[in-house]
Amino acid sequence: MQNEDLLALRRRCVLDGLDRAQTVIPKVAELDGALGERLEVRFRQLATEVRAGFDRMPDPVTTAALIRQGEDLIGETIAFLGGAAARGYDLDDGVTSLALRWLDRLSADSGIPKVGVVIPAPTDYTGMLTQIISFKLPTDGLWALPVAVHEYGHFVASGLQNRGQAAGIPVTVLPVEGILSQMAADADLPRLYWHGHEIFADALATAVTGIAYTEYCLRYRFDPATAHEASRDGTHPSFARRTRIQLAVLDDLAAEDQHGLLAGEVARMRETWRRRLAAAGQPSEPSADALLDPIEAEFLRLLREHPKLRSIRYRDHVIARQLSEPDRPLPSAQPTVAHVLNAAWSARRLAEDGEADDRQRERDRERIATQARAQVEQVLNDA
Amino acid sequence: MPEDLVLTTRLAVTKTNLTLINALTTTIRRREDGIDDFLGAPAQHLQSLAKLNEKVFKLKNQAFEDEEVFLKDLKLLEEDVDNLAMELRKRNRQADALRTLLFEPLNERNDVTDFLLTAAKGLESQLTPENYWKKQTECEKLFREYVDLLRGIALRSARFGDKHATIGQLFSIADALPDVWGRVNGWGWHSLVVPSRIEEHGSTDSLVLRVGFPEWTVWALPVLQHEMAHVYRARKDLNRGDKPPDASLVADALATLVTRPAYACATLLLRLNPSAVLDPDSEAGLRAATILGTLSECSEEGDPVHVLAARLRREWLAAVENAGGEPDAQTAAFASSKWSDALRTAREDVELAERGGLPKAPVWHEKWPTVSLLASVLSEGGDVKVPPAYAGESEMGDAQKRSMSLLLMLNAVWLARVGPKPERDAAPGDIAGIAERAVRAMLDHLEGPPPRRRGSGPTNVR
Repeated sequence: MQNEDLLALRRRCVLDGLDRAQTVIPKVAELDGALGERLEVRFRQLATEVRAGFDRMPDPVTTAALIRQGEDLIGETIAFLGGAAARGYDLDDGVTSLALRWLDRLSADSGIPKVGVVIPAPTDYTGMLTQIISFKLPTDGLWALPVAVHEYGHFVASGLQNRGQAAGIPVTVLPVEGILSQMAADADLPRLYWHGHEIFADALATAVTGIAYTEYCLRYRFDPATAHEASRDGTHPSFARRTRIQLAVLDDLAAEDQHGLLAGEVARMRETWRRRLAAAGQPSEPSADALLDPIEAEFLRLLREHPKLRSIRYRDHVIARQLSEPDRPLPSAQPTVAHVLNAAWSARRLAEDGEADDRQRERDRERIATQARAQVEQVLNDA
Repeated sequence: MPEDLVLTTRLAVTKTNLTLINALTTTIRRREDGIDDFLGAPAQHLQSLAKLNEKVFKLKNQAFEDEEVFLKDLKLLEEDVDNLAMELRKRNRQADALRTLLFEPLNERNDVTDFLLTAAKGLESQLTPENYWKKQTECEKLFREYVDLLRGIALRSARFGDKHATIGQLFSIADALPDVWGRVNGWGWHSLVVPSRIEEHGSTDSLVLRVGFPEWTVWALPVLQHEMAHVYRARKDLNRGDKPPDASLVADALATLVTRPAYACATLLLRLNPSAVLDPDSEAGLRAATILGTLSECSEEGDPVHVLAARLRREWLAAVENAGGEPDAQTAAFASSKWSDALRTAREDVELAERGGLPKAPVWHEKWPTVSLLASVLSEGGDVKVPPAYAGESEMGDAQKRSMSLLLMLNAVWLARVGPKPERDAAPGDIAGIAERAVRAMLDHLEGPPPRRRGSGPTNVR
């Protein structure tokens, strides 16, 4: 069989698959009205792009690229359908709905386009074509909510644009991609691209959620025993490196905290992580990396200076700390979701500090999470 | 000479007090204004009543002549009567307030009268020609207490003060502060704080706490906790054992644990004498070490209170040097085990102490964001309300919670003046306004329903 014939068959297959998917997606509305509607527009647009590409009778290389694009789109659609079903049957306990509403709020505040949807999935993942954010199940409930912002970070990295001029000609620059591309040669890809994006997503999640993201990572996700190893598939940098960028962002936030309440919490987290690493026989800092080290400083600068990122930056930690007090004495400024999550962590730490009984700690954790979830919903409703 | 925080704070206080003395005539007039106005009320009301009588007389004549005019005039008369009634109600409220100001302190504070009466009766029955010389010192002490008490009450009731608050109002805040200590072995504070020229440590014998003159301001109120800490220490018998820690240092550790940075600021910046730090065992040096050590030990590194403690330590050392004391002696005092022994004793006892395996989270740690926010509002010129006390502590009585709330405000007022970092300090021109707004908020807080007190404990000390 000729290569052209193979391409033609696969082209036909992709087009059929897109047709079927386009028929099925509206039916998602039966499971979740808002979800089906949100993806249908995006899917139709992407499918039209693929079809229009085929209609232009492209050369074999372009055809192969279009086929890959179509297959990715169908693959993301299948994942979406599974996720939508899981969400429709409340397998995620409503966490992804909450995450979607939060990310929409962040987009509204920053002027960054909205993500497609957030759905439950076996792993955390962001589908860049459909702009679907997958949220890992089983979930750690409210405590895991900041992970949605990490995934949002992948979306922001590809979507954040700066408009400027080069030699008098208007140009659009993707600042995150720009930082990555100016740092390395093609030979350094894809590691630089993968790890760079993960580091940026970590930095953004921390900059938006304060200590809530780092607390979650250090308690639930980052194993000190393997702290200096990249992930098995090579896509994620080591936990030690990821922790370092998060703590650096937190240091930045603490420096801006006029009430001085964050500095102590960051110092405590840094010390706890250092102790856990030492207990696991691991060095406290990641080894030097000529590619990744300079990127961290550039991302910190971008987060500090970019107006859109500044607009959703975590601030006024005092509101979170006051929320965690047993009774709020003053009508504080309107809290954000991040404030509520930080307040929940403060309350959790206080409850844990004075409690040795594991069962009681579990009950306290559940109680605090339930209260915080109600507050998050209230904040989103008020907004 | 380089400027230091202790020096600038004391200079500001001294200048304020000198201004107060210079404005004595105005102060007296202000005091008389209110009373004159009130005392003139009966004469004014008599005049109003005479006018009403005239109108009634006129109406009697009109009643049979012109019904329309009669009804109209009757309506006007009704309005006049209503206005007079309203005025009388207002005067009644003023009379209540004046009564409270003039007579409440002693009536409500049974410990004082009980102590004086009991002690006087006891001495009277024991006194004989044979033991007179032996009992003389005891009698003189009682007489001194008596005179001080009367003088203090007279001062409190005299409506002196500045345009924002009278001395009596300021001391009504002071009266409420010792309640934060709760009941000590079944005994609760029901006594009185009075103004005096110099604060005396012996004051606790009669349960009359004294606040010395240069510090009749909101800034000095936390210092009162040192005296109350002595009462607490004595009642809990904390200085027992072969080598008990120094009583005054235990009192400082207790007062710092209970009152936190407000006590440290008030005592270091207003009270202790930096020039007296001449050797490692000097009282001022060890007291400063105890207060700063307690503040630092009971906060986590990086926390605002910890940062503030470090700053106060630097400021105090600078003050010692500038005042002609020995910085090396102060450094040696910081390293002394005398203060850490005192802190250990205090910490083991006080339920509010942080860490140390206590089952409950410390109130201060949880409430500091509120203190910090209040301080911001005060700094920015906004009006504040005293925050409600911590609701989670079921062991706290209403009076204790109310007192706790006042302490939160005292911390906020000091934090608005002296921040963890110098760049956040209040400008000199803003300090009076900060104090004024804080006092107003505390007085409003005290005007609420009086706290329910648990059953009174024994009213005599010995």
